[in-house]
Amino acid sequence: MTVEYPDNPGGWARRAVDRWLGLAPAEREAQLVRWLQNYDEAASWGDEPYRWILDSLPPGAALADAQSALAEVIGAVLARHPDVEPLSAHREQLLYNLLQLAAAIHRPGRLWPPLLEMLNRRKLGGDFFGSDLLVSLRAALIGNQGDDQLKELWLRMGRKQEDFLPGTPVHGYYGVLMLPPANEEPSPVVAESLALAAKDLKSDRNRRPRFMELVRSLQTAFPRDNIQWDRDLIFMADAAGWPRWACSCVNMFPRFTDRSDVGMPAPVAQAIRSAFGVQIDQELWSGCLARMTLRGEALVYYERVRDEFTGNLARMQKQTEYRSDHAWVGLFDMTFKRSLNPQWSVRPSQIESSASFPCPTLRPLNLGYSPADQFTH
Amino acid sequence: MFQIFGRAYPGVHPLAHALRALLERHAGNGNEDATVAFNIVDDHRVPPSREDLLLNSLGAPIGGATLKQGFTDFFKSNIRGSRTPDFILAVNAPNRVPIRSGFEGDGLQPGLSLVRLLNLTGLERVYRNYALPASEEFHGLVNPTVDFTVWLRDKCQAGDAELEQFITATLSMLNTDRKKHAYQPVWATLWDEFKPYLDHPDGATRWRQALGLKPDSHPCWYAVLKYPVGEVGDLFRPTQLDADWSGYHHPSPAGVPVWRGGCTMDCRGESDRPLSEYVHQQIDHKPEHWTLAGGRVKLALMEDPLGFQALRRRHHDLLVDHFGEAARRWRL
Repeated sequence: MTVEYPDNPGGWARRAVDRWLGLAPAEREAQLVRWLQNYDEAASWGDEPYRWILDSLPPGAALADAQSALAEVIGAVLARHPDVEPLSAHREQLLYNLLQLAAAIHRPGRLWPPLLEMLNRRKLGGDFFGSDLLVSLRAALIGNQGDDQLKELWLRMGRKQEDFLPGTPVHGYYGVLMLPPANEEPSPVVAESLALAAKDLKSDRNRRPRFMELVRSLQTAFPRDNIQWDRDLIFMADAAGWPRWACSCVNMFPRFTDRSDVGMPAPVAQAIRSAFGVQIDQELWSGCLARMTLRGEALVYYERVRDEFTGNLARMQKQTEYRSDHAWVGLFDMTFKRSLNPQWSVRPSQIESSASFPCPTLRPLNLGYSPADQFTH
Repeated sequence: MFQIFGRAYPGVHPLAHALRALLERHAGNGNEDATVAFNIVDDHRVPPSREDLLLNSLGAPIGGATLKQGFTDFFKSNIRGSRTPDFILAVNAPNRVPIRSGFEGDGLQPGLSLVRLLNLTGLERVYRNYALPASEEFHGLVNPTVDFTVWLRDKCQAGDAELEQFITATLSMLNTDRKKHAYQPVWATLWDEFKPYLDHPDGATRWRQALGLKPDSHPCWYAVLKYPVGEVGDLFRPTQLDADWSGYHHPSPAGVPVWRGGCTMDCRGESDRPLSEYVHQQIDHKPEHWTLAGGRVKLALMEDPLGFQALRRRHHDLLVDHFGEAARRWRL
């Protein structure tokens, strides 16, 4: 089949890459090594050659075939130990583009062994115009993990104890996120790596949106129903001891097994216990969240508080740029206090009769607050 | 105001007359034409650029019958028989499902598994094309008078070793054939979601129903294939345009993120949640894609307990239950 290419730079690039795919393996390798040093068709583009190649790959299933072909050649070049053996005049440029290209394609079957060998040699160093080559190696390793050998390395990165590969706890988390799924599940250490990332974000003024991004990347990587993710995130937070401010980053009104088996922030649980006499089934996340079995008016009250807060939160996030966890706490306090007000249309009668009912705010989120105080009314 | 593809139009849309005719003539009587018309009205996932391709292909004026024929012709030329089906092109960018890499950014974990049902019965023409006297597995079909149904049954009911050989040869045949003949798209779901159905007592009948595959006129042999997301190249959320004129497709609700794909319509109406559905082009399959799925080949019957209209309604109720009132539609 004859392919027609547009007569423009994009079309020329596509034609060059398609011709490359038709070459014999040895010729492919030689050509790729030249391209990655900005020679021949890859020369004089605004982007680095690896970007030029990625943008020129065909779409659809042909992309998978092209990625496999690229992985073969990248694997062959890596096997020649370009970190220690000079393969070309422009070592740094070749290594940078080679590793960046490897990071963009997922072919652990071909790339994992040579990348791991490069890591274990610990000889890679230097930079390409300010870009640390070890950062590119980290990205290539993250994207091509064939087993969980690097699990401990990512956790060390999370604890800021990794002494060779550079990276923040967030990078460590991305490494964990790309560990091979076990039975279609994320690695068991993902909860811990999120806890480490959250700890690192503690003094970041944008910690809430940034942590929410991390949570979202987990949900996107492993698609599940929202209900299931809401529940699983609470269990992760509980098991790994996420900081309390992270409450503002997840759904604090999760459903566990069915409509009546629900979770809620501690103050709501206290209110329901006082007003309806329902016991708390389980305290989770150091007492930030309580799990209860609710029916009748207690369930109605719970659902109205939940819906009111969820609606307010959505409006706040839509209308204002201010998205801090302090804003979240303030909004929760306001919604919760309103739910205790006699004027609140859905306030159940039992709460009115509870004269000595306390009005707890969401103190559990404030650092330094003792969880022991939360359920002692 | 009449909506098409989930969008309101200020004037008269070129499809409005034809769709209205189909809806008024057939609404409420379980007619597939009407349900596809509903889907066209509702399918917000079809981007304006793909709508333009459809309208250009249909021409004008468009009546109800013309629409159905034109839609099917469009599907054949732009999807089924195309080496570059519309869904992989830039015009379908909003439906492209991101896949994670070593860089930052959202996307499906490439190590997650997809699953598809390979309809062996539907491959009769391909098997016969590759039935050469020297072919170890397919030479039995060299004689065109050989009953394909009996031949396939014998193959599928052979012992484990023979069956593995047959499936290996079948996958190799398809890997060769896909480079000569386009046949798009492949429909897939997530292995994790499909797994509970694998050992259902009704076997492949339940597999087909769970994936919402339109019943054929005769029983079909299905093989289960499991393969990583990272091996498909590009992955997409399907639209009605990728499903031909089929009422067994149902648009997924607005607001469901693209990486969740579409929603399968359970032909049995018993699922407590819809499965995610994705489309991609035909890819090379390895024998381990079959063995990793448990080496399963089974015969599916085409009888569904619910009528077409009842299962559409049940599916709609499931979507509302699952995704909330925003998923409720003005009509089925």
